[in-house]
Amino acid sequence: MVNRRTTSRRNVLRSAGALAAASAASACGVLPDGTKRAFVPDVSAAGEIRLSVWGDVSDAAIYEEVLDTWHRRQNKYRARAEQYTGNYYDKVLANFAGSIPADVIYFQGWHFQPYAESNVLQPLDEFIERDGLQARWPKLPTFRDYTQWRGRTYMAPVDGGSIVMLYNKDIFDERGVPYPSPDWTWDDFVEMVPKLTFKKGATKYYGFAQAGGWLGGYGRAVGFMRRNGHVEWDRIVEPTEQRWQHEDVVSALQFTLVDCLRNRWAPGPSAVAGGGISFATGKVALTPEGPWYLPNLHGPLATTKAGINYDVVGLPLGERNPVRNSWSLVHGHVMSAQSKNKEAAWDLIKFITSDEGQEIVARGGRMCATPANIKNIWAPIAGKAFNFSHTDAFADSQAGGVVPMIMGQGSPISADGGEPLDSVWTALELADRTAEQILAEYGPGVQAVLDDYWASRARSN
Amino acid sequence: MVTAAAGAPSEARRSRWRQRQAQGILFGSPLILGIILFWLGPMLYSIYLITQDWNLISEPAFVGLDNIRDALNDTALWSSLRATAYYTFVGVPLQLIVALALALLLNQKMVGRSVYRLVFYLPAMMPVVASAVVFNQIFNTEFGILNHILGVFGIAPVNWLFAPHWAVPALILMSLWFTGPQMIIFLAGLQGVPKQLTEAASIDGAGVFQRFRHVTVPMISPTILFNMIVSIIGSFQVFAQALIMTNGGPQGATRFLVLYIYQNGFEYFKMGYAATLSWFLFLIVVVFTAMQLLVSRRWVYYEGGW
Amino acid sequence: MAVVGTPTLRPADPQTAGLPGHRPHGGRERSLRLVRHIVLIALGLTFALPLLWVMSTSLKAPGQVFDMPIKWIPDQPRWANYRDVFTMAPFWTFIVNSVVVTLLGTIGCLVSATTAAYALARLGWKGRNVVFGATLATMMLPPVVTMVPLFVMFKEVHLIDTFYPLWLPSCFAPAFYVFLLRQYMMTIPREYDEAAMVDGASNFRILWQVIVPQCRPAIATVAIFVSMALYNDFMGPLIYLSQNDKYTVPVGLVWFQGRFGQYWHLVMAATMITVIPLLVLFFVAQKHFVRGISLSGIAGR
Repeated sequence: MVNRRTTSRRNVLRSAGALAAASAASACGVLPDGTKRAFVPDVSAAGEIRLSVWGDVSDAAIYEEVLDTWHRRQNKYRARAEQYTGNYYDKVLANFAGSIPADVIYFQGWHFQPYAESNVLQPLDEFIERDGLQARWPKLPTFRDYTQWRGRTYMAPVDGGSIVMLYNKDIFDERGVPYPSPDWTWDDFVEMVPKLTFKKGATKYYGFAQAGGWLGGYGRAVGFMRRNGHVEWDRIVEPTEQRWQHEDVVSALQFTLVDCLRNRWAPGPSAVAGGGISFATGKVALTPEGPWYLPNLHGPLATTKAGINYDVVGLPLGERNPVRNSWSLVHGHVMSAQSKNKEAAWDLIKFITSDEGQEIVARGGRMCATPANIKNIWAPIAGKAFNFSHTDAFADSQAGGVVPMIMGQGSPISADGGEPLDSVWTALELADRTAEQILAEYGPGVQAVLDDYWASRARSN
Repeated sequence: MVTAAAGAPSEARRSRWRQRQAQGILFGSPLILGIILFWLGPMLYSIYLITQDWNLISEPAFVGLDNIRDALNDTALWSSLRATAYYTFVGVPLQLIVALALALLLNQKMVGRSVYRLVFYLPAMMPVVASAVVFNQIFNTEFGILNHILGVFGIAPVNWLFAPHWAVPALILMSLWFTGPQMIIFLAGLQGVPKQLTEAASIDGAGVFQRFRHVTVPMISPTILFNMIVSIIGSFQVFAQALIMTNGGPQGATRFLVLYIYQNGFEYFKMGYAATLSWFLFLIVVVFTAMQLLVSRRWVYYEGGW
Repeated sequence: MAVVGTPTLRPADPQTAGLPGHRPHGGRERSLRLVRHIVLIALGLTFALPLLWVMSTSLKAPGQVFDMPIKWIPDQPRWANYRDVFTMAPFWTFIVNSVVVTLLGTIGCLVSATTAAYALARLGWKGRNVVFGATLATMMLPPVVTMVPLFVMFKEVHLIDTFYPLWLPSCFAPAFYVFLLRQYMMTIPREYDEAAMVDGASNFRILWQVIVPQCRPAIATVAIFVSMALYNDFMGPLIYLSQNDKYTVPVGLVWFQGRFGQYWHLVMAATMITVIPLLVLFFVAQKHFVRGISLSGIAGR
């Protein structure tokens, strides 16, 4: 009996001691090697605002430098960065729900609309007017769709991208196929893909590859689907009707997905997901991608040690009606309506969209958003950093780019889950039926989602 | 709690009873508080949410019973129920068989017994995120170890996570790696089987299988019931793997109920609808557990007699 | 319905009860044992496969990760991967955070669950059975039902982005552990209680000086289970924590994977770092695990 009592007392003392030690360690807030980082602040100053950062490698570095520079340029305001990975938007939503959103929040241009609708974002029009910064919001339809909602401006364009076609010069040389020219057409593209698929020794090379999954796939396919001018919705912002059964849509998806996968001109989605076969590992001749992909091809973050010998060209033009219609993305920062220090937040946004801020963004590997900045700031940096010459392809695509679709809150299509388009994509990737059959089958489902969306809007208005 | 005698003794008894009452509530207070704060309160609030349309960021709006009506008409809900049922009613029996088999194998004094126990429990200990990442690679059609090993036996690569009819079997297969906890519970149950019984049976001439069927199984039937109930409840709530590995795909094959609830709440901004669906889930769990307990009277043997 | 022997009380020695008795070492027995070992080794390898793959990949150089056929032991194990994980990410901070949350929650759980189990097992009071039933009922409630209301509740008291929502609920006698401890306490003979009561001990003293010392196996089991659950908790920190310097290890791992995902070798090293404390814990505490569950009677009653 005595033994048990002292043993348990000893255990209690032991755990209390461990607890004390742990608390002491955590109170220090400094890593054992003594370094401090922008992401591990040891003191939280009053009046400090919070900036939320997307989860990619390059973003952490970019915004660390942005905040450092901004702090050096002015003494009035302070900010602290928080990077969310995993599902970025879940974190944003949780923070809004907990009434603790960051003051300045990064958003992709098609994601903030539900929040704007709920009036938790601060419209920026007054700030823009007051400081005369209208030039930073280009008067292009894409930019209007991506930065405004119901006539008010919410997002400041910071970085973006547009989809261009990357091509591996070594594979083209190996197969004796001439590089694509800026006015190449859909027919040229269809013809060259099989030619660029071959086996050399034990290694298989593919003519084409495309990112898998619905949102990545749909965005990259938009340029092909709309190549002759047909749009797969009746309108871009809050469409009421789906038009996916058109021959251009069908032929685009039939070739890039069903045919390429069936004939093994493109690697299957699991090979792409596994990470081993991609343009970045030198196994693919053509791939539609955006500027975020470039760091994988050259430089310190490149996937292969030697990098890839490549260049870029705009997406192929339509064979009947050569309209350039590439997916143009705009990302940027919004301000929370609940921010307690809106002046500080605006000052930070001003800095990020200034030339100096944009240069930091460009050097970090993200492409600037506005065509002017792309041409003047990003192109020289990127061309050198990522070793390619046709930088104008990106600027042109961004200027002439399109938005796939934007919807307000409540519609599953606007969420990254994307039902039922998600299922359309996996069916296409399975490649056991024709695109025509698949689109015919899922068309009514897509229309039903749109109808439900409008019904619920009618109910709430 | 009856006080029959009148006068002084009943006074003392009543005050003793009051004191016992106070002590009981005092000692039980963390539990009672916990139930109210973390279960009852939130449950009532979530019932209230059923009648609301709320997107978490603006004010809730009253919609009466619309959420329930929408749920009954929702084809996606029914397909998610089917997927969940498939996963549960195929997966759980397999898990129990594997767990019991492992427990039987380990139910001996032997060299390396604790090492084997650790190895079998290992996958269940890894954080779910880590397992999802690892198994995603293992199931990869072109580069995964699983297809690699199948290839050694001459089997063509299976399109595990990308073909609609292979996705749920893949997740079921994956769940067999996490049967460690069930195995431990079976082990504990097996160790409660008195050896006099098995010895008596073998003296009577019963073979290995007969001993198993007629002595071991009845003696561990409470354990089987416990594992069955817990596993079914757990399988109804499969979520993390579906979110991280397939995100409900391909073509909705793995959009299990909890994932669908999560999507409705956090991706489609429909908290009221999500609350409705989660109550649906609760009812299903209660019904199935009650059914199992009812049926259990016919096949579960309790030694202490309950 | 089945062949049933004479009813017996709790077996005296759980380690050997139910095990086959000694048999003569015939050739047939030996070959059966051999078969058993082969089967066990094959199964063991299968179960260990994922972790082995993680371990192997964590020591590889970036280019080797996807080489087929798989090279289980890389030519030059790159232990530097582990050092890289710690220098590229504040993993040390994550570990400290996890330890703090786990310790606080485990101690809170042990104290509250033991007290509550005593109230249910030993004390007689009106409402005891109702509370016990409610406890059982909460074990069946899917957590997703209370997820949002709990978040709203913590938000109202301004505890979002702190550690409190992660470990405070554990201090309120979580149902599963109360159940386990109650079952176990009910198997302790009441003579000890009665002896102490005759000596004039209060309930409090009976609990701490009579019951608890005899519950050590079950308490050890609870301590192990709850610390594992707290350490592995992912949804909690994901929902409640915003700042990177507050992240616990599971969220830290996802953060690391999101940030450095293409570096599979580093992600796997980070995964190993996450898992090692659990391995140590289990190996050290294995005995308590199994004994605790079996003696708690959860399996048999």
